[in-house]
Amino acid sequence: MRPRLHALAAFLVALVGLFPSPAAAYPWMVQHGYTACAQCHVDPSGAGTLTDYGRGQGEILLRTHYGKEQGDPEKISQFLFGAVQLPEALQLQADVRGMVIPQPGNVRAILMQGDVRAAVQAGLFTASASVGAVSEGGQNAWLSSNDKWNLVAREYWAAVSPAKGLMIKGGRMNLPFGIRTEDHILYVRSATGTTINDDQQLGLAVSYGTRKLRAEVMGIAGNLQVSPDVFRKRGYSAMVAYAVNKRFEIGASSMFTRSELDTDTLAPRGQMAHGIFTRASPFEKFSVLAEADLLLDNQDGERFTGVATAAVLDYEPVQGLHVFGLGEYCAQSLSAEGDAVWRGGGGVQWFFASRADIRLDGGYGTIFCTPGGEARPYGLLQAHFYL
Amino acid sequence: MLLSLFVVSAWASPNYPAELETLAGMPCLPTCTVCHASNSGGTGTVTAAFGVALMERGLTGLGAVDVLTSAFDTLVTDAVDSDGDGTFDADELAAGEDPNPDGVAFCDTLTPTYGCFNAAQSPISALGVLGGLLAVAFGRRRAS
Repeated sequence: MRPRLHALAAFLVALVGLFPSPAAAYPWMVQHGYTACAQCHVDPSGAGTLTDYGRGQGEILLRTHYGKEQGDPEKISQFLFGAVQLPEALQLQADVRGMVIPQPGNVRAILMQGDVRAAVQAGLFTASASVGAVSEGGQNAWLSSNDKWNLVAREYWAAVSPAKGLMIKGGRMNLPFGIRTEDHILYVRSATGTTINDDQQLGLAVSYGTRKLRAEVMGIAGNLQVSPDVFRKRGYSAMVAYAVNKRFEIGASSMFTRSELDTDTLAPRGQMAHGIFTRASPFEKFSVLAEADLLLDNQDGERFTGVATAAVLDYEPVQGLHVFGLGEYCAQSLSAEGDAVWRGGGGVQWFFASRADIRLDGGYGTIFCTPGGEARPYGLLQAHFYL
Repeated sequence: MLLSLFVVSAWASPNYPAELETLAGMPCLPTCTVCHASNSGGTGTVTAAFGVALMERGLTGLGAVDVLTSAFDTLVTDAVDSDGDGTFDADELAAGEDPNPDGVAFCDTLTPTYGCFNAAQSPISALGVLGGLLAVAFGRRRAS
């Protein structure tokens, strides 16, 4: 990288408060011809620890190259840029994700993710775990219990693969539902409780994947990091997706959970969600991600029928630079007047250096699917980095 | 102008429950739903009458304690009674009760706790599960 570009990159990192980020789930990889997740992630349903191949693609395909070769991607992409030689079966990864809120008079910096991940793949067996810290939020993944700065463990699971494409997993895992994305404020993720931020649950899952098909079903045993037991959800979550071709995937999801008491309403609650989604790249460097979910909610005997929808358009004019727009609509109860909320916005995400990206979001609407929630301008400035 | 548009997407004021507990002399920590639509909190989710009353008195969120103190003092001076039951909001909070319409008594209600190290009610430690899973995985690897 030329000195001037080094300076630009350093300035941008400083601008957002030295908060870099993790390799998360990037469903728009369909515009590069990737419909499946298993090539790049240890979890075949996506997100979390990267495989060697995923690390390599992060170097080759994800970032801006500034017009010249960046050296041997195989070595650069390795843990700590290849400074430490890990055993072939071991993957280590350190993820940092941060955000600043530069509101005049009250500038705040939030560490959303500071995780160390480890995964072992030995023969038929795979195990993966993460532990880290957050300055705020992520309470469903807390190990400690402080107002601020908590230890978190988002996932810890072990698996066996008795046949090609088949994996049986047990532990705390991301729920298989809809489009797996790091964008946890999307209505379709927050309304269904399926974010990869802190909505993982303990359970047993079976996943199956081929070049065209991927599917996973999970029995949910509850989140042991929430107490007492009456607040833990039990049920199932499942998804299936079929790739019509390398640039077009369609899928369906279904879930049901029930808890004796809900953590929000403090009353008995049963929730169902059933939906469809698609990831498509109708032409090169452009992708459409869309999801629509029917929400069926039983709160202490009172029943509600709602919807959550989202569409994200992503265009990559130059490798590593993504310009995106999104629109979403949500109503937890279609019959309740004033319940529906919406959000429209867009932004830019730039993978400006090896394993590093910054993202600027802006728009207008309600954050989270909150009945009657106020619509207002919003902005987010994030930075990501992983080792 | 541009900077003023930047607001936090989530976890707007995680310190507010503890601050409110102190300000109002509450016998226990209030849940986030005293102001927000859910315990997840977040910008734009203040829909409870008590929270709206505080925002009408200058509360802007983002964790600013002085702004919360000022808004709460004004609410006390204005003798706000959000649920119209004849007891002022500040007095309800001091008694450990929810000042919102249909609100319940916080301190008599079972509320969730998050984390493992203080979870005496948790029959299984998440760390124990993690250790067990890793032990099984590494044990199998050695055996092979």
